[in-house]
Amino acid sequence: MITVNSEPLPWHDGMTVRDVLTVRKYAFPLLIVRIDGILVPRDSYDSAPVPDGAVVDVVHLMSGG
Amino acid sequence: MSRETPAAGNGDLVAGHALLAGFRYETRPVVRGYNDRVLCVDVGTLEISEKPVPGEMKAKFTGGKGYGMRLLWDAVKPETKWNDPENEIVIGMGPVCGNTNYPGSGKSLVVSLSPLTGVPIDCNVGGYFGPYLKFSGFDALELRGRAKSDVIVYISGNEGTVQILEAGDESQDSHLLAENMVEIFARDEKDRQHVSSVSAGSGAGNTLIGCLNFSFYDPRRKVARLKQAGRGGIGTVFRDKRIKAVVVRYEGLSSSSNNPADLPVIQKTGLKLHREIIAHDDEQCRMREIGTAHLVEVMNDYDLLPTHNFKFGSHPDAGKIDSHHFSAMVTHGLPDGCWFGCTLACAKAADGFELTTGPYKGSKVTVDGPEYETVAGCGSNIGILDARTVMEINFYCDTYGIDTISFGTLTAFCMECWEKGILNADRTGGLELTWGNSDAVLEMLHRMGRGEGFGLTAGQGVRRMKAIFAREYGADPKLLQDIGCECKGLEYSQYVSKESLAQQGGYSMALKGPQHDEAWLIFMDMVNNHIPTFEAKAEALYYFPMFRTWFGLQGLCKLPWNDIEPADNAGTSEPAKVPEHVQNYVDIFNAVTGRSIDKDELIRQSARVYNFQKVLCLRMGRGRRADDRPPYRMMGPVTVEEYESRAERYDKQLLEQVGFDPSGRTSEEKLEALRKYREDRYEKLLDAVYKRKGWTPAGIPKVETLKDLGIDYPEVVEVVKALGG
Repeated sequence: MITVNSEPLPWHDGMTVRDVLTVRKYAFPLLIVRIDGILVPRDSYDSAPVPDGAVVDVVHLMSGG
Repeated sequence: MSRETPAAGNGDLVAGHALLAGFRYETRPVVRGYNDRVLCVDVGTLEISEKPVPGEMKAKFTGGKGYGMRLLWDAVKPETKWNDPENEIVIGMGPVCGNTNYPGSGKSLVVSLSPLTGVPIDCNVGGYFGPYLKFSGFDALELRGRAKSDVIVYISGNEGTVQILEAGDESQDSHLLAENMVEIFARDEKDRQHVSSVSAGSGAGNTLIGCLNFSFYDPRRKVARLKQAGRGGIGTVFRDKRIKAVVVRYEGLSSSSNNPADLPVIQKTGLKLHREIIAHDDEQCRMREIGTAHLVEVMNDYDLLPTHNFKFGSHPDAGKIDSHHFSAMVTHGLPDGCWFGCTLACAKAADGFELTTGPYKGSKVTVDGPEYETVAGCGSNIGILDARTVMEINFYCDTYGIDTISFGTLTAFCMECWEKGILNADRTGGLELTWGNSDAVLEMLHRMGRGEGFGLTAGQGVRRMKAIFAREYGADPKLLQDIGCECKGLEYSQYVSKESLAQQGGYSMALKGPQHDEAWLIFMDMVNNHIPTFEAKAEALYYFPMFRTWFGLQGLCKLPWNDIEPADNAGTSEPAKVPEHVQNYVDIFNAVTGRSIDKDELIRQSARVYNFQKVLCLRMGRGRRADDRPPYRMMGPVTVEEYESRAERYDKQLLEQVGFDPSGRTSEEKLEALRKYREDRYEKLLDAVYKRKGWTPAGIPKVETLKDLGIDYPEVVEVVKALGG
């Protein structure tokens, strides 16, 4: 189990940041992802692993007028 | 004051417009972003004058919306109504306005007493009018009075003349009128870009939801395009004054027209943002491709896209109105900034769009837009999942001078009233206002344009319709209050706020009514879970309204702040604030004005105007705590249908947060328990936010707050003291 934005999410072997975003339907383009406080570069979401028990922070910025 | 023949471009066309009054003024360059004078035009008495901006006003109100609020206060009395001659329309620019070096620097701020709310409304709007007026010599324009018959106000910025002309038989609808104004006042083809007009279409005069259209001539498309000061019915005030158009002609724009204190700093800061936009926009918000409409699919994914009068947050067919459909309709590859130098260029337009209904059926026109709000309001929220129909509604709303946001929200309300049997064909004059009935929606819009039948009723807005439906049709007032999505009299803009307490506050505490430009906190609150406590929400509801107010003081657009982010923004301590862009704004303000503010003084500049506006609302008899409460539809599920659409979420909340075990309970019982919980939390939020803002629990600014901000003027203190502030 991991925590994403303060809510639990089941973990699976080989889970990546992209998997988390897909499961949570986080489609907004202006995202900042931190795993256990460590910033994940936007261009490595497809490969960055998410370990079991991780605390994942997916910060959505703002958009629009 | 002198009387003379009209000093316009095309003498033959102008000859048909009798000169009613003329005024000559001394032209002089802007100094560090300011002219330090205001132009006053009374279309009733035909008096035209200029007046200096006192140093105190400049120091405390900064410009733009700040000047608008100060001038409006001085113009009206507590008993003034929107349609009294003394109500003004003030168009203010701000010191940064007209800068061509930093994206998004061409906004005008329009202020007036709203027909919908009775309190000041403010709108920011692009187009060339404001910057041209500024470089013609004025920091703001006050329009007051009511003409005996339609007039055109013409400002010739290079000659230094202002004229009130008798209007001719030009079409009232803005897509034609804006073209006519260019034709009349431009000297030749090349001169067309030097002419900009403000107008409101036929629907603005027949409804209370009229908007203003600010034009900018597009030399490549060879058409006068339109941007809207949309909210609150300022177009209705404009037409009530019998102003057909206000036109400015100005030639001679340069990158240093603001005569800034330090041009190289502005150029360097602008260049940095230009590069950022070019490097990252395609992978971020695609503003250059389709503008704010990129948000349609995002909002649908996050259950935030208003659907069927804000009942739901997504629609299974929302893909039919996503940004890609509009991207396929607009013309790409043309510069689309609504002011010069804006690389973000989000003012998209569809060319050769053939209309299928209404008075212009069969015409091929250029349609500006649609923005996200228009797609959501005139699309999903009324069940229209067809991009072409949304585009046609967008065109007619604009040319009729009707606010697309209010139109969408009030139409959604009508449709739910139809669904509940409150409205029927007898009551709507045959309009079958069922979800998604585009023929009926367009016909209702055309009736607003013509001033006929149910178009007149609907055009009164949601608040007045609630009273009419209760009084004449015996509808349940409580139900109407729950589902009528207005607050203070203004229709909500297009986001579902049910699951974000902070956004409920952001909407309903907004001084002018529920428009999202004071605060948009849904992601921060509902998705990021970053502001879980009342205190954290209150802090966000302090900072963001103050920060966002600042754009309106300067003549700036907010989009280049938060629709593009620097590559290293993620590594900053407060990425949601986009710290590098905040510093850009501090640097630009200082470079234009020669002053030396920091990011804290930026917030104080806004706080002065914000609190002054709040007291002006109170002076007009509104702005109390009761005025800050939303209809329940914007707070939670009103109906069993809504509850059951999110039953898992609501049951969990009841069990874990309310201490109410939902098992074995009816949906009605669960609805009631949830409502009590949410309404109680909203009251706690009000307490926290008022405290953070330095207001009493009744929502009245304390005298000490006004003193701290330096706006403890006797007339301001008098208002709050009488209310216990």
